[in-house]
Amino acid sequence: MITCPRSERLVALLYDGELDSPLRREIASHVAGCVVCTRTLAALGRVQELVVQAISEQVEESDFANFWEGVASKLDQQASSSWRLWLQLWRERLRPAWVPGAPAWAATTAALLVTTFLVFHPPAPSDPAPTVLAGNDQAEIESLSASETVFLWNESESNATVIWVSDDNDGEML
Amino acid sequence: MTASRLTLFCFASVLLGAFQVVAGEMVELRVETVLATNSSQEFDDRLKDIRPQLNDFRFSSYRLVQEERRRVDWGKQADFLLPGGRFLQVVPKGYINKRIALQVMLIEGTTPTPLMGTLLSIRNHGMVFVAGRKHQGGILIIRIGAVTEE
Repeated sequence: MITCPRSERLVALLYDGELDSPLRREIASHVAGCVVCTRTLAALGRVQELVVQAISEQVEESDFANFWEGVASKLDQQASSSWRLWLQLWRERLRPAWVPGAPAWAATTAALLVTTFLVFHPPAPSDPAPTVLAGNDQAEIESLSASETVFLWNESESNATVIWVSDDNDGEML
Repeated sequence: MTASRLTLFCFASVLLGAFQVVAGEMVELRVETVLATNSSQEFDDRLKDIRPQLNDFRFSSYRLVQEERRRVDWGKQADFLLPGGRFLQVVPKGYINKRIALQVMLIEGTTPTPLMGTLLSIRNHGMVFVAGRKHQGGILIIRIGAVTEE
């Protein structure tokens, strides 16, 4: 069998259109004058025709009647798993934020509890509004004024009410 | 002054007077001054009845440096001289709902300057603490108590 050194590689590239213009023109000129390369190029064309024909025949034999129903079923399954995946990703994304946000959650919870308590136990309309609502043993402060920094607190366990008149300008207590 | 305001004023005066009669004609004021420091572990035994309250201040040492009791009429001002040239003015204002209303003023300085003034009420036999002023390496804790006959 007669062979051409160029037909082994370059003719196939010429058929696939993968050669640059100068080389493509050169090979095309060669193929025009080379019987071996002309046959090789013709054979490549024939092989492609056979491949396309074989695929077309298989496609025609395939039954696509239930194809879209199957696609829809697969999509539904993918959607539910995607929901779970999305929810898991959402939790994972928020998890680091929960740890430093714990005081914020505690404060929110405390605020809700206080609000709930105030809603269900509103102060009597006739009661005055003292600065400090105290238990029986604690002092009730009606008014308080000072020229220095003053702190006021009630100790729940000892029932002590303390008016702290700071002796420092920086407000340091102890 | 309109008639309605005059009526309201008279009614309030009668009520206040009635409360004071019910509570007794006089009130006993008790002012104790405690020096709290961290210089030792001393605890004055005379303060044992208020030890839980003093422990809230988280000092290591508590010593009673002054105690004074005074019986005063309702509405009359009582002046207490405190360590460090400070004054405490206390005026028992009335007795309502088993609570004694007190007007308290803390005064300090060579030209007396009010540091703090408050109107408060404490339970009969109750107390309130005024603290925070520095004295001899510690701070002063002033316990103000009031007692009246029910």
